[in-house]
Amino acid sequence: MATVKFEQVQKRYDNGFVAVKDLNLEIGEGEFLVLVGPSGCGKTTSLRMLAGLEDISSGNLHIGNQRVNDISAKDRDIAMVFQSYALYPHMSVFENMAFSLDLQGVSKADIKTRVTQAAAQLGIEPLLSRKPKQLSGGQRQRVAVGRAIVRNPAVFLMDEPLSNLDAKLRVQARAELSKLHRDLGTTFVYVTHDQVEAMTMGSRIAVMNGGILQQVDTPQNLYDHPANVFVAGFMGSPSMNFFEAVVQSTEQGLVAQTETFTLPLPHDRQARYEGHVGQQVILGLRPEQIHHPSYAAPGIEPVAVKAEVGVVEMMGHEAIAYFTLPNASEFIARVDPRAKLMSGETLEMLFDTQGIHLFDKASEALL
Amino acid sequence: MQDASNLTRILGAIAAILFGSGGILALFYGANRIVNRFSQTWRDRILPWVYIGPAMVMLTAYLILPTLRTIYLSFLDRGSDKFIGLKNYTFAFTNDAMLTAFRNNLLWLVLVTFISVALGLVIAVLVDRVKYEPLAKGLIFLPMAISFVGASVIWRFVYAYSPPGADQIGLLNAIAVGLGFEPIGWLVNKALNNFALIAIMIWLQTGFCMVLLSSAIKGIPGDVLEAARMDGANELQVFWRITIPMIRSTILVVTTTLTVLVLKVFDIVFVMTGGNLDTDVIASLMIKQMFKFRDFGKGSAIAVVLLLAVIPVMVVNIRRFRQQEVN
Repeated sequence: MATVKFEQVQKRYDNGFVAVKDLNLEIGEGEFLVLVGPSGCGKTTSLRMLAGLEDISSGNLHIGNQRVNDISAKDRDIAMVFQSYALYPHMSVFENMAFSLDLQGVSKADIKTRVTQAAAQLGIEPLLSRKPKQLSGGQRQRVAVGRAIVRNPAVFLMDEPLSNLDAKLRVQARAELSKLHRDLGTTFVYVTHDQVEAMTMGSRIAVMNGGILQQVDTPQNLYDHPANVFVAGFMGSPSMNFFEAVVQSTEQGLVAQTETFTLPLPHDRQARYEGHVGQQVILGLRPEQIHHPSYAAPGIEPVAVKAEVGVVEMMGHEAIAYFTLPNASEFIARVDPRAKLMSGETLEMLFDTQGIHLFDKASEALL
Repeated sequence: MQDASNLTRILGAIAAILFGSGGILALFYGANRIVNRFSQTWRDRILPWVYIGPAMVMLTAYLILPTLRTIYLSFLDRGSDKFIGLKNYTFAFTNDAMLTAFRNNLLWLVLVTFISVALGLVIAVLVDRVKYEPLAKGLIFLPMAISFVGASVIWRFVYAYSPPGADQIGLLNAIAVGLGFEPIGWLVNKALNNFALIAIMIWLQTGFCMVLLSSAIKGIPGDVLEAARMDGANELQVFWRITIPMIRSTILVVTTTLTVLVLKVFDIVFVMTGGNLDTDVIASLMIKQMFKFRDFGKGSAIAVVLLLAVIPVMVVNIRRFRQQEVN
C-alpha cells in the first residue's frame, strides 16, 4: 500500500508534442482513482509514467515517500493489468502468475500457495494448467488480474482492462474489480475512456483532456458540480445539453436568456451570478432535468419550453428523445417511456431550473 | 563484335523468358479450354489434376526419377555394369577420406548453425534498439546477395598468403604482419583451414538469420515485454525467458534451413581448397567421386547418404510448417 504523488509532471516527446502538461495529482493510500478522458488525453501516458514504462520529462513522481523518476519499472513494486492482458503466451496460467514471484526468488512451495490462493480468489483454479491461447477473453482478463495480485504490490495499475470484454461480462467484471479493491485495500490507479466505469468504480475520478487535468473529485461531485464545459459534457450519457445564453437582470431576479427561451436562475445562486449580468454564458442542463409535461418529477422548478420531437430511442426503462428548438438548435431529454412521443409533434417540455449550470463562454469554466 | 554477341545473348534471354512464361500460360489456357468441354461432374474431377499435372510431371522427371536412379546406381559398380550390393556404402562409411569429410561436415554443421543463429539473434536484438537500424541490418544482410563462389573469391583475397618478407596482399596476413607476427597460411594449415572455410559460410548466413529473427522479435507484442519488466525482470531475463521462448519456432526454422544448406555445401570448399588438405565435405567428395574419378557407384552412394541425412531435418521443418498453418 502506498500513496502516489504527481508534482508538475510533464511528458514531452522528442518531436515537441506535450502529452501530459503540469500534472499535479495526489492519490491516497488504498484509494481507487480512475483516470478518465477521451483518447489522446494523456491518461495512458500518465499511467505509463507511473509504471516506469515512459520517461518523465520534468516534474517529480513519488510512490510512498520515494521519488521514483529514475527508478526503473522492475524496481517500483507496482503491478499492471494491460488492455491486451499481455499474458506470456508460452507459459501456462500458473507460470504466468508465478513469473514475478520466481524472479523475486520466492521458494517453490510459497509460490504454489500464493498462486493457488490468488487463483481461488478469482475463480480460475481449474485453468492453472492451461495456456493463454486456450482461454476466453474473460478468463484471460482474470489471469491478468491474478498475475498482478499474487505479487501483493504497493500500487495496482490498470489500463482499460475491461475494454476487450463484451458488455455483459464488463458489468460483471466491474463489480468484481470493485470487490477486489475492497478486499485488498491496495491503491488502484485505473485508466479508462468509459465514464460508466469511472462513475461506478472510482473512489475519486480524475478527468483529463488534451494532456491537462481538468478536475479531480468523487464521482457524484464530478457529476453534480463539473468544473468546466468539458467535464460537464464528458461525464454523463447522453451528454449534458448546452445552450448559448446571456445573464439578464429582471424584476423577478436574474435569468438566463437564450434565443428561444428564458430560464430564471435558482434563488440560492442569485448572488453568485450577480456579477455576470449582461455576460455571454453557456447554459448546461442534463437530459434527465428536462421532463415530459405528463410525467414531471415532483419538487422540480419547471419552465415550459416548446420544442419539436425528432428521433426517439426507446431503451425500455427510459426513452432518449431528441428535440429541435425553433432556432434549429437541438437538445436531448431522458423521458418516461410511458410518454408516447411521436416524431414531428410539438410539445412543451419542462426544464428544471434547479439543474442549471452556467459556464463562462470564453474560458468555459464554471461560474 | 563483343557488343553484338552481348546483344544476341540479351535477346536470347528475353526470348527464353517470353517463350517460357508464354508456354506455361498457353499450356494452362489450352488445358482449361479442353476441360471446359466436359460435363460439370467430369470437369470437377479433372480440373485439379490439370492444374497440378505439369508441376507433378516436372517434379517426377527432374526430382523423383533421378533420386530413384541414384539409389539404383549406388548398388552398382563404378561403370554401372554390375550389382555389387552394399560395397559402395561400406566404402562410404569406412574410407579415410570419407571419415574426414564426415568429421568436417559435422564441424560445419555445428559451427555454422550455432554461430550464425547466435550471432543473428544477438545482432537482431541489439539492432532493434538503435536508430540507424536499417543501415546496420543492410550491411549485415549484404553478403546474402553474393553467391557462394563469389564470396569464395572475395575470401581468397582475405586469406591470401605470401612468404615472409614479401608484400602481403591478404587482408588478414597484412594485419598479422603489421602487428609483427609471421604470415599465416590460413588455407594450408590443417588446424585452421576448415575453420577459415566455415567462417565464410557464417559471414554469408548471419544476415539471413538476423533478418528472420529480427522480424520475429518485432512480432512480439511490446506490452508482453513491458509486462515482464513490470514483473521485475531485467533485460537479460526478458531476453531468455520471454523473447527466446516466443521466437522459438522461428529459431527452429532458421536452424533447420541452415542445417540443410550446410549439408549441401560444396562450392566454398571447391573454390577455396578443392577439398585438399583435409577440407573435403560429403558433398565435395561426392562431386569428386562422380566427375573426377568417374565412379558413379560410389558417388551415388554418397549422394544417398547425404539424402538420408537431410530427411529428418526436412521432416522437422515440414511438421513445424504445418503446425504454424494450423495456428
